[in-house]
Formats: sequence, structure tokens, C-alpha cells
Amino acid sequence: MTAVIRGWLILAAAVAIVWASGTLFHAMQEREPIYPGAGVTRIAALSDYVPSLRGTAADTPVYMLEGRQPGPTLLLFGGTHPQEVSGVLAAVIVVENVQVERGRLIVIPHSNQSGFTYTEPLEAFPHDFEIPGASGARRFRLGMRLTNPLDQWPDPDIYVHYPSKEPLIGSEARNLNRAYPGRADGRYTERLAHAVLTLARQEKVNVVLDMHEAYPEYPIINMIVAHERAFEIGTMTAVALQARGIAMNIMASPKNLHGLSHREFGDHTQAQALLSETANPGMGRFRGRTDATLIVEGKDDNYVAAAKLKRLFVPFDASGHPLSSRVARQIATIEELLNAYNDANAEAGFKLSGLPEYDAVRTKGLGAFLASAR
Amino acid sequence: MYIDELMLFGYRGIAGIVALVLAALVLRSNDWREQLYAGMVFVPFVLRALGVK
Repeated sequence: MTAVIRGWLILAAAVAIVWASGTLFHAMQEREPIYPGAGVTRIAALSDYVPSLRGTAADTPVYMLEGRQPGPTLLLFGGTHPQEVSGVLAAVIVVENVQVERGRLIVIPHSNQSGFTYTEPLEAFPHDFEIPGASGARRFRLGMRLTNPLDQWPDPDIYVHYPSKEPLIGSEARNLNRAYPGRADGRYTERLAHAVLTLARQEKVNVVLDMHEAYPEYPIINMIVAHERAFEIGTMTAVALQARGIAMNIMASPKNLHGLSHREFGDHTQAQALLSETANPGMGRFRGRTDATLIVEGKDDNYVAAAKLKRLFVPFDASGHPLSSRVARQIATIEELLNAYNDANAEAGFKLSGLPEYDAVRTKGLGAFLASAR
Repeated sequence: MYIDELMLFGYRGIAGIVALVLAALVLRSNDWREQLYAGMVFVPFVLRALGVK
């Protein structure tokens, strides 16, 4: 083979690699579709509240589910940490199923859109996962906890939270849930946090629920974290869930830990702020093979062994923690939180329909409550 | 235009020039190892030049 022919072959192989990796990269930037149900009265954007976000990766759809009768407003977040998928799926199911008769739900399923565009290097995470449905599967992206470094780089050695001046490790500068209340002239994640908080102020939100997940060896799982002004309704929610056999505990938002939604929305807006956590074995250090099956089925032999050694903060047997159960837990938390708010307030409270039942989500699976892919 | 955007385009331009030099090396060299290594290094520089990184 002559050098020239060999050269062209090597160059052709290199171009093929460039094409394949470029295609994969662009696929990761595509936003997964959400199919709004009949209850969605308007789709706004975060940039409607802070116009400087328009055209940036931080802009994200805001789904408004407005009742005919006036009432309180719940702001619901999924995807603050895109890897914590039960919150994303719960938010999507609310958007696609719920109809509000009194009051208003404002839902942001992909709060940090940038975090959906990459997976953490060297951690072998799948890029996406599928939820089977009656008429085909729905594909969802698996993102990462932090803003994509392409949108905010480099990390400082030490991230100093604004305005508390609390020092945190540098990479937390890209963590939306360490950036609240944010600032209009800050870096990407701070500007995003500022926009979400501005939305909450302008829409006079009464209750905020930020839905998260954590690994089974982390103590704050199957937990509601509540700001002191929301502690009463948070406790009522946890008690109601426990009465239904859904183990969910309550803890107070630490006053000296800043940047988190349950702390800063409580301190900087009129809203009662809460955060919920379910247990996701796909995020933990004990996990074995990391693939879409682990994300969806939530089964892992390593975690069964860790539970036997009493290293976990939740029970873990061979049935695992399936995504359907984790989403059901988030949805039941929303339901009981709305009930608790209504019980605690004399004025007319939330009234809605279409929120799936806890047992139905667990037994029928998520596909039964997701719209068909179009 | 912000200074960081100017710097980004300058960076992409430089990456593109390096990619072209590497492609020329792949086609003009007589040593198969030099051709192979230049072909391997060509990939990330093209990706950077195209903004796919």
C-alpha cells in the first residue's frame, strides 16, 4: 500500500470518528419533549421573568396549570439536579395529567437545563433511559448534578456563596441548589437561580417543592426538608404519608447551610419552601453495573449486601427501589403537601384532579401515566 | 461582541489550523506511525474547531 492511499484511509477513519462523536454530542443537546395535558393553560419560559436568559442554555419552559377559581400557587421543580430522575418524571407526569380547578401549579421539569446535556466523565453513566408504555417507549435523558462545564467554566478553587459568603468546594459553583438566591450579574448558575427566584416572587408563590434524589448510603433520603415557615405543613405531610404506609420523614432546613432552595426561597420569598428526597441506587458509590436498567429498575446486589451490613439509611432488598416507586413517592408527597396546605389555611385551598394514585403508579408503571411519544 | 466570544473564535481558528496541518501530515508523510499518530490527534482538534467540545 502506498503512503498516499494509507494516508487517505487514516484520514477517512478519523473523519468517521469525528462524525460519530459530533452526532452524539449534538444528540445530547436536544431537549426531550414533554406533551402538555389538558390542564396546562399556558407555557411560559424562565426568560419571560429575566429577559437576559433568552437564547441561553439556562432558559427552560415553565408550565402553568391554572384553575378557573383563584387560589394559592404551588411551584414545583424537577431537574434541579438532572441525575435525580424521580423528580423530573414526577414533574412531567404532573404536566401531562393534572387539571387544576382552584389555585395554580407552576411546574419546571428541567430546572437546570444545562445539566441534562452531559454525563459525568469516567462514571460510565448511560446518556438516557426508556420508560415502556402502551404505545411505545418514552426516552428520557440522564443528566448530571451540576451545570455543564461548557456553560460555566472554570470552577474556582473555593466557591463563595452570594450573599452569605459561605465557602464551598469550587465545583459547587455549578450546583443550582447551592446558588440561590442567585444574582442577575453572576455566572450562569447564579443567573439561573436568580431567574427562578424572580419567578417565585413575581407569581406570588405560596408553596415551593423542589424534588430530589440521593444515594441509599446518604442519611437524608425518603425525607422532606422544610424551612421553618413550612415546618408545620411539612410535618403534616410526613405524618399523612406515614399513615398511608409511605415512610417519609421530616427534617428542618439548617439555618447555616446556604444556597439551597428550602433555605433561600423561605428566606427571600413569601413562599413556604420544602424539598423532597427519594433513594436512587444509580447515584451511589456502592453501585455495580451502571446502566439504564439500574436507573429504571433500581436493583443492585451491592446495595442488598450493604443493607445486610447496616450501611444504608433505607431498607434495600432484591426488589430494589424502582423508578416507578420513587416517582410514586414524589407524587404522593405533592398530594399530601397540597392537603396539608389546605388544612393549615382557612382560605380556599388547592383543588385539582388527575394526580395519579401512589399504588397505581407503583403497580401500573410510569408508562401508564406518560403521554405517547409523538 | 464580548471578549470571551472573541477568544473562543480565536481558539477555534487556531484549532482549525492545527487540524489542517495534521491532515496535510497524514497525506504527505511516508512513515505509517507518523500518519497514524497525526490522524489520531487530528480528531480532537477538528472537534474543537467545529465547536463540538
